[in-house]
Amino acid sequence: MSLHDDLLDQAERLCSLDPKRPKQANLRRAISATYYALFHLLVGDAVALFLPARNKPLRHQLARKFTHKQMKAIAHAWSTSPGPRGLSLLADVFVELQEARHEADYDLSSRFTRRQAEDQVIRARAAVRAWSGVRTAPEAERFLIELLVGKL
Amino acid sequence: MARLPSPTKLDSTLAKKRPRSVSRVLTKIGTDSTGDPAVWIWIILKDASLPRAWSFESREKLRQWAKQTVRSAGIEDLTYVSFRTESEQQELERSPA
Repeated sequence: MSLHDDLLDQAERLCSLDPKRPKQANLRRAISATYYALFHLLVGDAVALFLPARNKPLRHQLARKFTHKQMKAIAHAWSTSPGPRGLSLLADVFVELQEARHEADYDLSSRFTRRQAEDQVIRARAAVRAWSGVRTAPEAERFLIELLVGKL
Repeated sequence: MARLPSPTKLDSTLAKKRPRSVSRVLTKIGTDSTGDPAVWIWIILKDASLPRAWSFESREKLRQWAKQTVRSAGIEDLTYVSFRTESEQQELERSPA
């Protein structure tokens, strides 16, 4: 299983951990895990475009160069552009999740409900499935490259 | 961050045109974590509308409805949509943060 699959599984478990009143700590971690599932999926796929698999140390270094802010800006642009539906869905979910993750991790005035967190996990899973069908499309490859270098 | 002054055109439109599965819609305006202007929308689903309204397709349609309503109100900001059930929302309102 990949890291992103494991993170989504973890998020699901956290959402259902408390049978009655879900703890904010668990819901917040669930949302954070869901965001990072997509983050690592996209970074991994993008890095694979730049470097062959044999060069793992350099891949890890390159992965650290991606910034959340730039990824959000690029994803926002692609979320409304014409192109494969799987790409626009993943881009849209990524943008929403980044903001949700920031609130979950840092904004103690925000409160989350189980349904709210579950919605994000389900949406992320749907986006991952849709992405798998379009990840080698020309538009998808352009999107991945832009996540690192900015708008081409 | 501040709530939209109520009633605003957006609040009124969301309230008047809300689908049957939606109990109410809460909104907030401000800047998001990367400094972009944004609108937050919480779609509160009627408990009785579940589980049908909880399907992925239903939620995506509601998401698009909310985002389209924001755009047609002349607001070009990023729009973040979340879902809660009415019972969840009432629980939050009963419990202090």
